[in-house]
Amino acid sequence: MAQATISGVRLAGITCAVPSAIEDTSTDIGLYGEEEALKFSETTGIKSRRIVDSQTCTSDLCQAAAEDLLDRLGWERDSVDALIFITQTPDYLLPATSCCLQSRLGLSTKCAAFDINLGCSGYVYGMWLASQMIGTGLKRVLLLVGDTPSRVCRPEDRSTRPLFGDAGTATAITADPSAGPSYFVMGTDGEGKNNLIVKHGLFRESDRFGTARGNTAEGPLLFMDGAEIFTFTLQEVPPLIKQTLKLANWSMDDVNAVVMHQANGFILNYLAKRMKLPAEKMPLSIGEFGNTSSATIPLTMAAAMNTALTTSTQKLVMVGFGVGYSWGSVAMECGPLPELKILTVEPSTNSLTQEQAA
Amino acid sequence: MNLTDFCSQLDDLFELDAGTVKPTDSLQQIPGWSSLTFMGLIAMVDEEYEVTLKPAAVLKAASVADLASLIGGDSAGMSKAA
Repeated sequence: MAQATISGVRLAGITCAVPSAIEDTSTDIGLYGEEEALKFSETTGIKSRRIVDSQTCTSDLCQAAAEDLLDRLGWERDSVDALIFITQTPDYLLPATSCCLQSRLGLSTKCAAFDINLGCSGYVYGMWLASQMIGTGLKRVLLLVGDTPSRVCRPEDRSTRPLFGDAGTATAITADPSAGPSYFVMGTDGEGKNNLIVKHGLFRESDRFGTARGNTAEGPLLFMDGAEIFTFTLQEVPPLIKQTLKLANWSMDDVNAVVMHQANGFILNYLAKRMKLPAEKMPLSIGEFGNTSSATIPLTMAAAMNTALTTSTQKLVMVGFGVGYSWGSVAMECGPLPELKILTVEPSTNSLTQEQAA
Repeated sequence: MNLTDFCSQLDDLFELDAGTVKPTDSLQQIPGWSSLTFMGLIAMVDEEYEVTLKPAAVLKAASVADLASLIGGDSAGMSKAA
């Protein structure tokens, strides 16, 4: 069973970055008609989301967040021991985008850097990995987590396009002998792989030369079976939270907030009802930002818990679940932190020029 | 499981006039059937009957009555709510 208790690690700060362009219900009315758009917004709770232009990548959003966070924390660039980049929308198939970010951020060449391909569960996995790395002797880890799912959504797919938004986040994790333990529980079920998938674009569905098999002209576009995802959520998330609380020896009364992956408002509201979780214990960001995949947990902390996290220590349970299927939860104390900022990033002028200049 | 009550619950779920949904109706032909109302159906059955529907089994059910018997009996298509 993938469970871990890790001490001596502290979350030191978070910055998030979202693109400036906004799509909202009025956009959806234009695409799908008023009745359908309003019904979708009412059911999912999504009023708007942020969307990148065709030149901006997840790494650009995460870079902006990281620059801000490193400066505000006063972390010298060569003091970062490792960079973890968690995304399912990397810049390239190869090299790893984390290598590109090491250069773009001016980190030391003695810094370890690697990518992880996870979505909804990615932030919890990232915290787990960073914490373990600190346990082996590293002092500072920069965890960059984000996605630009809008770039793989079909505009006409009314089950995905109005659901997903784009965001990048940076989290600083540091060694701190006085920090209390964090309790992690993770799980996986690959039987669910087809229910949230970008099937084409890589090797399983192409011939030796990268051409899509068969007559399909399908590019790398997202398919999602909402009913299957909901069923998976009902089956796995309540027991996951229960197991995490048991590992931490916490009761739900001890918890200040359960920060859930913002899958959609209907799922979140039903989960809260099922687990008898009061509204004040479940912060939300889905209304303003939509489902931003791996970025939802830190973005929700910034959007809905900035006051609480900057003025006090909060007992949090973070819960990521979805694509894979993959899931993970961590119970940890967090704060007080510096301000959890949400930056707005204007469209990239020329990402290739930025790369050449790095 | 009372079939009349189940049809009434579906009337409420799909925001239809009382008595609209019949036991012989095909689920996917109910006015308002969509991916969102499908999730609503899963939630309603979970809450009212403490059964987590498997979507594939729901889509195979020939009628409302067929689905009701799956929910009410021991069936490979369903699982007890976690």
